[in-house]
Amino acid sequence: MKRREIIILSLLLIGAFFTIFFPNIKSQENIIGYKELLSEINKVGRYATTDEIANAIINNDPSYILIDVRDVKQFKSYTIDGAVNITLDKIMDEEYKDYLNTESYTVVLFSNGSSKADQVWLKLRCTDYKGIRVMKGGLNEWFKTIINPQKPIDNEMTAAKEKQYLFRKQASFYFTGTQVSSGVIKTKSNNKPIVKRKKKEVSGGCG
Amino acid sequence: MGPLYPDIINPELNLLIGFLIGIGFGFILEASGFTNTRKLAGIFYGYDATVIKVFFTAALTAMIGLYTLHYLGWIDITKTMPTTFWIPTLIGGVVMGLGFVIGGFCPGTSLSAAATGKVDAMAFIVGVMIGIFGFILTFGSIWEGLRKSGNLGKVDITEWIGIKEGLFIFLFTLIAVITFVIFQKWQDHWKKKLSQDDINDLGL
Amino acid sequence: MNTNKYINPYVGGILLGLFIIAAYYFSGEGLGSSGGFRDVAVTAIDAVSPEYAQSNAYTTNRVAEGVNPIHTWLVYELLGVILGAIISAAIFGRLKFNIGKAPHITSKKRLYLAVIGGILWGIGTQLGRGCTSGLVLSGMAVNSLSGYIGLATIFGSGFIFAFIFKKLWIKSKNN
Repeated sequence: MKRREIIILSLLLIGAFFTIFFPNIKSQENIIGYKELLSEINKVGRYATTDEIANAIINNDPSYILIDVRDVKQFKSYTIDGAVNITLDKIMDEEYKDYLNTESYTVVLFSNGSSKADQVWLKLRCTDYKGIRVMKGGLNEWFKTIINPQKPIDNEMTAAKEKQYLFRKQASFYFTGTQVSSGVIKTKSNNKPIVKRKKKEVSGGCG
Repeated sequence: MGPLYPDIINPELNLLIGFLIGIGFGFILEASGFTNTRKLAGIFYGYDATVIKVFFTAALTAMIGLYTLHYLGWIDITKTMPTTFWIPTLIGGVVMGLGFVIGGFCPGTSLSAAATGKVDAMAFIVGVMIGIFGFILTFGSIWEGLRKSGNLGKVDITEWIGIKEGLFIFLFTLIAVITFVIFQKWQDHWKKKLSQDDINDLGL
Repeated sequence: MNTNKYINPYVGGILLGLFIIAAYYFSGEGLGSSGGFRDVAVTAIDAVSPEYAQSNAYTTNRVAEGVNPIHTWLVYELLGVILGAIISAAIFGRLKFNIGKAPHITSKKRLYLAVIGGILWGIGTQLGRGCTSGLVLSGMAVNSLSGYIGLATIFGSGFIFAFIFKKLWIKSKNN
């Protein structure tokens, strides 16, 4: 081997040797700026109302993925139909990547109130995942509006509110199998899996 | 911080830079002898070690250089990491290996060879276009699923093996140098058996 | 025949490595080849039938209304490759029409083999998402696993196939 070649190869070896002492390349998670994050936290769009969620489930809308971020015990005692249980510490696991990192589905987090779901939302927003939302008010709100909806008092009643109340009554029946203020109690199975069917319009009468 | 495109360089300038870099690429390919199919095939038989020398040296230079630049903060090479689809890459690799031995070229070398007058390279390019058109036209029915399979995401080989980045580079450099020595010896051994015509053709 | 002059392979390798670094630094792209061929094919298909180009799952992302798909970094790079090769060949006196082959193979056979080899590369590069420069060389430069898979399979299978097809390149006593 000629002298020039030996020099070249030696230089390469020396150069390579020095790289041993460099720090590892960290796989970059998309670092979102602080200001941007603050503005996003306050955006209304990141919330989904309980009505929206109830509507999606009743219509068997397959594009929603509901994630219950509470612990397993709470999840097992009651959760929203079709929800998946992923807690904060597991949310970044490989096996859940497909649930979260998707543009074709709407991912909605919920917990009892809002704080736990918000925590998880924050963590996810700091990575690449986009479009993840939180159910506003959490399960507390769910109970108040869907499972046990409060009829608006008379001087607050408007056409829109009446429609909303009717919808919530139907939703309550759908989810609990019992009609609000009705004598007949029917039982239904809980935790139905989300069946991928064609979207149906909400009809005005008994869904 | 690099890559300068798309933030600092606009698309037109980027294309111009591509053109200029291409000139360098083509020049080096031709000047190193990659337009000569006998030289290219020679790596598989041992009589010409040029391919492995240029190839590995280029890879090492780029590896060491880019990693160093990343360490210095001049470039963010995580932005350039391709996604690994191990199944189609593996199968494609075998097909390409066969194509290499039969055709005597790879696409880049064939283009520089065709540019300098090699008629067999032109025939090769015709074949490549036939293959690509055929692939595209049958994509939906044959290839689509296969091409998407085996997606491992953007995998850094050093993470995959579980070794420190710099250590991998150093070890690879070491292996490459040993490989150079072995192929050089193989080539020297062959040279005694080659005719003068062959030696002239290969520029040894 | 005069001796062909070639630059020292290690020097060539270092220069090539520097160009790869430049490509990544300026453009965020690795030095590639097969992608350029594909872009030409896509452009041709789009020119013949834009509706088909939009419907075909492979080309649909690469074509758009009013956009000419030929303007990609790789196509411009390949134009440069042509020019650079011509310049080098002119300097070294290799600018002439001929057929590169082993002496014991006929020209006709060589041309057929070249076409077949090309077809294999056409398919292989689209499947494997690159060729030796784009997939392997540039992949290795950024430590991508895909590059090393390409390296192992292309060269590994190459050695095996070379042994099988030895008589294409090596004159044996019977050839």
